[in-house]
Amino acid sequence: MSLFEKIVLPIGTKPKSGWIKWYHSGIPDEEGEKRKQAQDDAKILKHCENCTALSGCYFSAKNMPLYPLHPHCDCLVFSISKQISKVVATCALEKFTDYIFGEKYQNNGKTRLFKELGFTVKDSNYLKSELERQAKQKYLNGDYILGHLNKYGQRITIDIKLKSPLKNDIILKTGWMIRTLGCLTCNTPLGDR
Amino acid sequence: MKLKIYDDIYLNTEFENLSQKGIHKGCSGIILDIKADECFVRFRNHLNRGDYACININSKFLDFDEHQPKEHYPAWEHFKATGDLEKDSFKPQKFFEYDCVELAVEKDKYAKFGVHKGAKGAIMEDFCIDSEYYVIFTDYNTGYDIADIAVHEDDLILVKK
Ligand SMILES: [Zn+2]
Repeated sequence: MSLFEKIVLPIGTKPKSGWIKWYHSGIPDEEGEKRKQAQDDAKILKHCENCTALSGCYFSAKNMPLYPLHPHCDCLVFSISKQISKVVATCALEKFTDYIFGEKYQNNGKTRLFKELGFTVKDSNYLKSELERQAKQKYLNGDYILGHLNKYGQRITIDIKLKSPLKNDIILKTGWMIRTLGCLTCNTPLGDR
Repeated sequence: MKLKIYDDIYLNTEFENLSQKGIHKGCSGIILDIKADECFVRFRNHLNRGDYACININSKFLDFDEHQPKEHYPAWEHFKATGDLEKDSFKPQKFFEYDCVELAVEKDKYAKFGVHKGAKGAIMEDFCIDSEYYVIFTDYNTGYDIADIAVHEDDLILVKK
């Protein structure tokens, strides 16, 4: 809790600026076994699975889920006092090698879209690192669109600008999952139009 | 250390008969009852959140993790009174990350997201929750996504592993 001033915002209050941390009691912040266990028990303990999925996640105050999420929501929202610094955006290489350019997805239209832009599977490492670099910066700037929230977590869309070898600069709408403590993982390198 | 009811524990030994039920060394669980050295444990399936298996096992094969808070007792009592305590194995994992799947049914809960029977998508997590998988469905004509939603395993068929 050292990063945070213990400013608990009253339910229904939306901070005007800065960052917030979502908090649900009994759910450890660190991703891993302990968090999984607590989330496993959520249903038995009659906790809202969407709320427990959000616990420990950071949001830009100007771009956060509805708070409270539902009637009798017992989540808390902390105002973060310092600039968050440990943001990590991760895009698995397999998102390109096994999905976008993957053999079993050759017909889903994504390979064709990337090939039209001049990218092939050989560009996977470049695309991965470029997505990670830009996503980190955009998330830090609060420059993302909140998407669907369910028991898997909160999705966001981030626009990634790429220099295409064949066309002008293009914007990819990439889909990410907000993880805890400033982490993001890429769901799809190409979501919406 | 003497184990107690509502202790969280880890299985410290790999057993052939338990591994066939999906329960391996390191698996976490909660002790629901104890008689002498025999513990009645509800193990958690981390590949399918919400799934579980109830097993009788000697306490020497269990390592203490932590004790559940008192305020959780009523919920566990309720589970003991109403849950299926005969369930003694995990559900086998039906799909894996990056598997290509197809929606096999037409249901309102998927249709409201624009996902209809025959839609194809990709499994995008290495686990599921309540036997529902996180799937990104794509319009194969455009290459853009229709929706990313949780779909029950019974409503999906495997297209390509
Ligand atoms: Zn809540």
